[in-house]
Amino acid sequence: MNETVDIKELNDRIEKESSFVDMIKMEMGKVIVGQKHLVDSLLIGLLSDGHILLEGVPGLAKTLAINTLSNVVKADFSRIQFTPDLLPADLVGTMIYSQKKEEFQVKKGPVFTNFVLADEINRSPAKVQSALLEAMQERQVTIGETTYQLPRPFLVMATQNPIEQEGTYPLPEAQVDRFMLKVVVDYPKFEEEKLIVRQNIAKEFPKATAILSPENIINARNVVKDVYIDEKIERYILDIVFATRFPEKYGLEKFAPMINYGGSPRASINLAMASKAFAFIKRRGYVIPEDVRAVSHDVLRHRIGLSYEAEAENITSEDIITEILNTIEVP
Amino acid sequence: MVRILNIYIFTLVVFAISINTLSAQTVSVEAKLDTTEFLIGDQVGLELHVKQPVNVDVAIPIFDSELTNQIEIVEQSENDTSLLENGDWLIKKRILITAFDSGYYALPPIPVLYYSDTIKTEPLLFKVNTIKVDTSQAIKDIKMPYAAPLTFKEVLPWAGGTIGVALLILVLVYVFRKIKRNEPIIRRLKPKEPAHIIALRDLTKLNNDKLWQKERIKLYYTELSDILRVYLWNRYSIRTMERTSEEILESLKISDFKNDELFDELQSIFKISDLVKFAKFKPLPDENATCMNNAYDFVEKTKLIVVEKEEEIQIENEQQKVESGNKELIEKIDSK
Repeated sequence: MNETVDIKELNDRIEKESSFVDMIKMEMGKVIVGQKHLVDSLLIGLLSDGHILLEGVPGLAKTLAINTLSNVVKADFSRIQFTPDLLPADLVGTMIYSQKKEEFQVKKGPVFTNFVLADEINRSPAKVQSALLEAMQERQVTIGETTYQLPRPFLVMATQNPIEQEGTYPLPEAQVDRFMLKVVVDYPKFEEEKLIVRQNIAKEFPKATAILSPENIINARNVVKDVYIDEKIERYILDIVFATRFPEKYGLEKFAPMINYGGSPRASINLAMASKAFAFIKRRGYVIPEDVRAVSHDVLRHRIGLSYEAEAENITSEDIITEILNTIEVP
Repeated sequence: MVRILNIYIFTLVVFAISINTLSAQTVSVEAKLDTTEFLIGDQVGLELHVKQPVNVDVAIPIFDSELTNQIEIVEQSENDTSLLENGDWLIKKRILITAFDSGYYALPPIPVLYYSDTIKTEPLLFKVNTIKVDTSQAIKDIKMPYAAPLTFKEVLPWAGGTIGVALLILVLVYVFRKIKRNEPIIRRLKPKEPAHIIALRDLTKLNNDKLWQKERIKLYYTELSDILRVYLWNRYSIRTMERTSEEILESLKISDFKNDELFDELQSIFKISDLVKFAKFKPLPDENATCMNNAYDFVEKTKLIVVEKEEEIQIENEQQKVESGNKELIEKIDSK
């Protein structure tokens, strides 16, 4: 096969640059048993500079996965447990008066780190969520009159529990949209759980070793941006996102009354970015439809607003995305 | 003698009186109305009860359409006989009466015959009231009877009949037109083209278009992969257009596709097509030609051949003719 120079060079570069992916997976595999999709999703978020919202019942290694990833990358890590009495200042920091110096001094909050684990983000009121989500979007925080840049890479991984909804503050749609991926974490398989039990009752719990620096991640992100995405794939991505907005135009009339609003342009951007990152993880220099399909659920599931009719019919956003993927012609 | 005659007459009188009294005590008749006052035109039940010993024949009257000139009978029941605790029979009859004039009415005694005697019910009195009219108000016009709404059951035969007639007319028109145009009345549908015919025709057209020779490689591979996807959809009923190459190959494996060589050929075509379509890949001219040849090969070797029964019969007949001809020839040679 005689590949054109650009793609060949890109493929070689990606082959070389993405070698750390297998190492990360291996290190994480020491601690996290199974949950391959979760690990892949964390890597996609890490490589495409997108924040991740993890949803799952307690005890599915959501926090452990994020903790392990930060250990592997050797980056600064903060865990913030969101509670109803948490204040924005507890998150971003505040001005403290120093009697010694007789002036206000800035006390930076736990958000000034590379990896932020916002545990149970829906337990805090909207003002705290807004403070974090603003930091996520702008990648900067203003305390007093000064604006401070957040360190790079800056990745927020938030968790939320789908049960125990009493006393929670569900994230508004506009803010949920800022998460690149919403990953639903499911129970491990039987054999996997057997390993988990063994691992946890053993004398020593395995630890992941740091193999990457934050600079490596920033470099990898630049390479991910170079992954080639053809115009046909772009069209395919847009078809998928547009089908969430105008299902009737894609022969999905039955979903028209069930969708209040579809994916935003940010959904299209994130779908393209996540597809590139997925291709990178698969150590490929170009995006194929498989990549788009692999990340579609995680990118779109929190971006489709369902109507009461859909809820009455027991139709979920998952069902809609699956049907869209099964209807739209693959290039 | 006179004394004897007097004693005889006295005995007869006493006997007659005693029989009459005995009978009168055993048969009783009673008539009662449901109500003694009702509105003009209303219907009221009249119950007639006759109690009698089992061995006594009683004749209960059968009424005509009215009891009196003004009391009409709407309906009357059959005699209902039941056995009482003392061994007597109770015969019941219910008569529904009505009256269309207001005022007081006397229901005459109803006679019941037994042997040569008659026993009657007590006369009954009832009142028929009229509707009070407010004379201070102006006289209103007579209201027409209310029209009952049409039910589906009533409409159904008419609707069915109309549709049936309409269909019959359409069929007649269709038949008439066909006869006029000298066309067959029942047209046989053209059978759908087999998957391989469509695919081979499209492949030939693509080959003739010489797209890769004109440097339109991406279009060439897009069309080539689409032809194969349509073929697989028609041939194996795999939903190929909404699936990726990998998913198509996976589905083909599941559908018991056994030929590994052809599978590899197809995989190779899809792989090169994907590279061209999504990764700016430019294959060598030989590879372009090989892909086309492999596509032809795949379709030719996987095509579904259906031998129609008529053809089979025709082939058999021809074979029989040949065999019989051979026999005749052999016989002729033998005879010579």
